[in-house]
Amino acid sequence: MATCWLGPATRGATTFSRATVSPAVSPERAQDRFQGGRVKRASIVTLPAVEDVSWLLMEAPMVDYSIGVKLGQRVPDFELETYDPEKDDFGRFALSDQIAAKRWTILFFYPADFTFV
Amino acid sequence: MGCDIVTVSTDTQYVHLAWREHEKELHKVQYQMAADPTGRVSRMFGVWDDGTGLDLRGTFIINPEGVLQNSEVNFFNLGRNVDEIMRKFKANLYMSKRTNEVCPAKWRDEGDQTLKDPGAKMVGKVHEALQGDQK
Repeated sequence: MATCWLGPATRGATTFSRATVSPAVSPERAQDRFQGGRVKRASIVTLPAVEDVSWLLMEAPMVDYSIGVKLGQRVPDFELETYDPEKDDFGRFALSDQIAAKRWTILFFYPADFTFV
Repeated sequence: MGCDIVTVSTDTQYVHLAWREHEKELHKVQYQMAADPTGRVSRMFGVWDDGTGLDLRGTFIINPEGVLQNSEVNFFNLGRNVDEIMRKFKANLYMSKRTNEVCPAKWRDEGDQTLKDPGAKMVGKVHEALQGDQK
């Protein structure tokens, strides 16, 4: 059984498979480090079976904003609160709505309201 | 094909409303003004400035499939040329309908010269291609 300091405790813990996952630190050494260091045993949780990665997906944020955007690639979906002058009301802008409506989008970032644009 | 312009800053939508009501220059504004106070989306587009918490002057053209077609980022102290942004948008729109054509530097609008089927035959022959088919 291997230990890991990441992720929630899960059901169905099984043997760590080194053939499928290669951790930066071997499980044995990681355990030594935790037990010898400041990290308390209570914070150590058990890795789930390697084939069961559903907890990883559940914990992941809906959108990974940190991956950035690249020319020629799909922009990760995003949503923003808006003020819509046409309706004189607040609203939401979502890229997925634009795709559903088959419309182009020009995003125009600027530093701050009440300054020149 | 339709296009929506969305402006984004790190101000909230409430400030957008107040600014638009206060500034007479904006009374004709029709586009949605989006709020990104956490900088989450601004970071994704690489226009968030950590030092000030403000956005750089970035412009991004996204096609109806959600693919980023064009980007341009100016520093705080340089305004944008709206004609150039519209030129880029028109060019992308045109090329999305005619995928075997590319728009050279001097392309301004539909009807202007494009380069067709750029490939091995055009290597070293761009001048001839731009001079047109008269030969």
